[in-house]
This record gives sequence, structure tokens and C-alpha cells, in this order.
Amino acid sequence: MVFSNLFFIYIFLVPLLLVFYYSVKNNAWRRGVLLAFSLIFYAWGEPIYIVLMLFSALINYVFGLLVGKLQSPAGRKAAVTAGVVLNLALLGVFKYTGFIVETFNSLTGLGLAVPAIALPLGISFYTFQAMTYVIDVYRENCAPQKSFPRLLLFITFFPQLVAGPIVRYTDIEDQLEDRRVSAKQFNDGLYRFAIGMGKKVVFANTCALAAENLFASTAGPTVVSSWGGILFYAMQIYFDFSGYSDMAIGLGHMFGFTFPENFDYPYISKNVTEYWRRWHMTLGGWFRDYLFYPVMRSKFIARLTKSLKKGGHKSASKTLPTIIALSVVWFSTGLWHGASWNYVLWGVYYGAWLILEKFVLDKVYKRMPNILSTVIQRVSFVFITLFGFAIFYNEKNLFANLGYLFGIGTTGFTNVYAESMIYENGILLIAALICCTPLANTVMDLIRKKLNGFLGEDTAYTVDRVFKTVVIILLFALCTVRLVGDSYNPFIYFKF
Amino acid sequence: MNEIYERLSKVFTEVFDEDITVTPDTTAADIEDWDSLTHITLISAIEDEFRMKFSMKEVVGMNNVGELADIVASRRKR
Repeated sequence: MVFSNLFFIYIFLVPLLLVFYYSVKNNAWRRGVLLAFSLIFYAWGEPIYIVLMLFSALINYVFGLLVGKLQSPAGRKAAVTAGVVLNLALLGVFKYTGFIVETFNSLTGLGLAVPAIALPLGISFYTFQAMTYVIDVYRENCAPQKSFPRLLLFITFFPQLVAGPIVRYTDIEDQLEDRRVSAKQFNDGLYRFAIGMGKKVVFANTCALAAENLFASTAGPTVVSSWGGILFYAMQIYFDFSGYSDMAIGLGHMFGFTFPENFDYPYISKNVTEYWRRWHMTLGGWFRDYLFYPVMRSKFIARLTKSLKKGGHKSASKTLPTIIALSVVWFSTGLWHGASWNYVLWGVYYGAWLILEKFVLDKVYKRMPNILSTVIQRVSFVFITLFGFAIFYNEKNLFANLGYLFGIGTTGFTNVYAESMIYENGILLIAALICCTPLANTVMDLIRKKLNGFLGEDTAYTVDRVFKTVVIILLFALCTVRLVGDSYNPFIYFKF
Repeated sequence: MNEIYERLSKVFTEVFDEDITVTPDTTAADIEDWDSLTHITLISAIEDEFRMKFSMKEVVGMNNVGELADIVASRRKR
């Protein structure tokens, strides 16, 4: 089930809300209702693999208790290691088996049969969420959860189950016990959900069509259609994924949960470093805390730093460990996105830019006049990001498609088809570009402040509520109409 | 305690390549290069200086230099 789907909204969500708010009052029952509906939600798309998810939850439950129970540091470490390895093994078998065999075949020239294992929905997300639990028990950031249903609810809770934000156990540990639901929080949640749905239906689905039309041009690829296609794809993936995160966060609110934010207007960043603090923030945070830090604090890195210092390579002792750890992190980030080399290349590409910015470019820019460095950074950021998406998009024929961007193998620089496609979608593109900046929010805040002054806080609050309610109704009506006639409604991040 | 802050300032100066005098209220926002990448390099340098170890919880959880210094004071070996 996807969130921007009439079946989800009217047949799943509405009944769930009715049961949640009107038939059961106490916390334990409400947890039960959420758990039952979450399992139905997952089983709807994955009637068989739900067993795998339950098994994963059970493993993490057992290892969480074990890590909490053991006293000796060595025992605790062994238990957490075993837990992490088991999680990664499940992910490896179900996501990467085919990829590994294929790569092995092409390296050795052997023709081993490639097993056809379908990717279980959301496995990359729920495995990473579950791992935060075991690791944080080990790090004593949280106590082991004694109740299996509660841990199961954390892992299977449908808003955050299949496509982020990646919620850590410690984010919602207290909320699993007890949470407050208020009319205000519910309304805010509904508003957030409507905004997310609007992003998805109004922008993502339409930009997706424009991108595909440009890529699949019957008149052959041109430089303009290739860059244009990537530009629309960049819009699509932002509105798609941040819209999904909005819907997830909004759904959480409706049931009294507060999830971490996942996007902070990534396209207004001035460089790659800033971009990765604004794009898919929960994934970046995950890799920082659960991979980058452990690698940096590993014995290998400690020994390396020491020997570099001893050898008199003072500046290398400061940079090399970070470069090694970043390489590990970004290779893994790429691989996490999909079992295909283009994702790995995409990860390494971003890792390389981050290393370059940190150790070279930042120092160069600091010596330049402010205006010059800003212009260079902004312009190069646009091309770095678009080229990155070109790598990300092309699971097949990667190098041919990258060549088109530079006029290699194209039928020309531009043609009538490409131009008319871009003109036709020009307004959509401009609207999308405006809406991926904080402009609308800034204007709204300004108006809110003015209204506060004019009308007093209470009346201004009522005006705000009425406005939001109108937005909710309009967006639901619009999306319902669009979705009734529209079968084109893909979610990019469901693949991962 | 003053001695700890002096030595911390020395470590900060070394790691960030600029003259830095830290106070209990210094945070990552005050030092331009103090991001999540350099944070861990800084932590290792402090561990070397005082011959002690931070737990991962402390590494991620400290909010300012004051909290950092308190941990150092309670656990330092030199």
C-alpha cells in the first residue's frame, strides 16, 4: 500500500482512525490497534515476507535482551556484534544475493545461476531501524525493551515502515509507552499529511511523466533532453521522497508520535556538504552515528593515526583517517540504495565530493572574495547534483546515458521534441522550483506574525486553523480527483 | 579545572589549525570547522592528551565544552 492511494486513505486510514479514537481509550489497546493495522498494512503488499519481518523483530528482541543482560564487556560486545551481523545477513541474502552472484559471474566468467529473490518491501529501512535498537542498548542509550509487542510495534509501525524517515528506537522509546494525542496535534498531522500528498500528486507524479517523456524521446537523445530529463527527475525525487516523509510524519502526529524530520530544503544548499545535512537527514545521521564514528574509533584507525604521527606526517594523520572512514561510509550509502553498481558509483561520487570539499575546496574558497566563491559554489552545486542524479537514475546503460549529457552519442544538441516538451512543462518546472525553497513558509510566517499583531493571538490562531483546514480539504479533493483517473503513481524509494 | 581548559585549548588549536581558547560555554556553533567529521578527530586528540576514553554515548551526547571537561576531569589519567 502506498500513502497517496485512495484505497489507503479511505479504506485503511479512515477506519483505523475511527477505531483508534472512538472504540478504544487506553494506551495498551491503542498500541494493539496500531500493531494490528501495521501488520495488515505490510501483509497487504507482502503476504509472505511478513514472516521475514517478524523474524527480524524477534532476532532484535532477543539480542536486545541479551546485550542488556550480559555483564562482561566482551560478552556484550560479542552479543551486539552477532545481532548486527544477523541483521546484515538478512539484508544481504534478500537484497544482494543476485547482485553478488552476477558480479562474481562477470569477474570470473562463470555462469552460475542467478537466484531470483524478490526484494522484501521496506527491508532496507526496517533493518536499519531495528539495528539502532540493538546498538543503542549496547551503547546504553536506552534500556532493553522487555515487551515483544512494543518492540514489534516500533519495527512494524506502518507510517515509518517502508520508506523513511529512519526512526531510531531512542526517538520513540518514550512514545511507545505513553503519548499524548490532542486535537491540535491531530490537525497538524492531517495538514502535514495533506501537504505531503499534494507534493506527491501535484509535483512528483507530473514531473515523473515529464522526465520519462524526455528520456524516452522517439526523436533520439539530445543534450537538452538529457539535462532536461534529469532536472525533472531531480524535482520528482525531491517531491516524491520528501512528500512521503511529510505523510509519514503527519501520520505519526495523528497517532500521537513525533518522528524526526527528514528534509530541510536540500536544493537551497550551497555545496555538497550542506546538501547532505538537508537531504534524507535520518539516513545521513544513521551512517554518521552507526558507521562513521565506529570506523573512526576502530583500532585500525587508531593505529594508523599513531604511526602517521610517529613518522612525522602530521597533516596526513589528521586527514587520512577521515578519508578512509568517509570512503567506507559512502560506498555503503551507495550500496544501501540498491543492489546495482550505479548506486555504488553514485555513493562513491558523493564521498569524493565531500572529501574534496572538506580538505581542498573549502580552503580555496576561503581565500576568494565572497561573491566569487558563492557564485562558483552555487553554479557547480547545481551541476554536481544533476550529474549525481544521472548516475542514480540509470541502473541500465549508465555510461551511454551519461555520455548524452555531454553530446556523446546524441542525435544533436537539441531537437523540436525536446524543446516542446520543456516548454509544455515550463510552468510546472517553475512552480516546482519555487516550492522546493522555503519561500512559501517564510511568507506564511510573515503573514502569521502580522496577523498576530492585528488580531491578537487567539483570533490569529483561529484564522490559521481555518486556513489550514481549507488547505486540507482542497488538497484532499484535488488529490482524490487526480488519483481516481491516474494510474501513474510510483514511489521511488519503495525499491530500496 | 583551569588546567584542563588550558590543555583543551591547546588540543583545539592543534586540531582546527587556528588559535582557540575554549570556555565551558563553547559549542560546535562557535567554531566554524567543528562539524561531525572533525568532531571525532577532536575526540581522539583529547583522549590522547588525557589518556582516557569517551564512551560512544558521550561522544554523541556532549553539548558544550563544559560537559566535555567534566567528563575529562572525572576520568583523566594524566
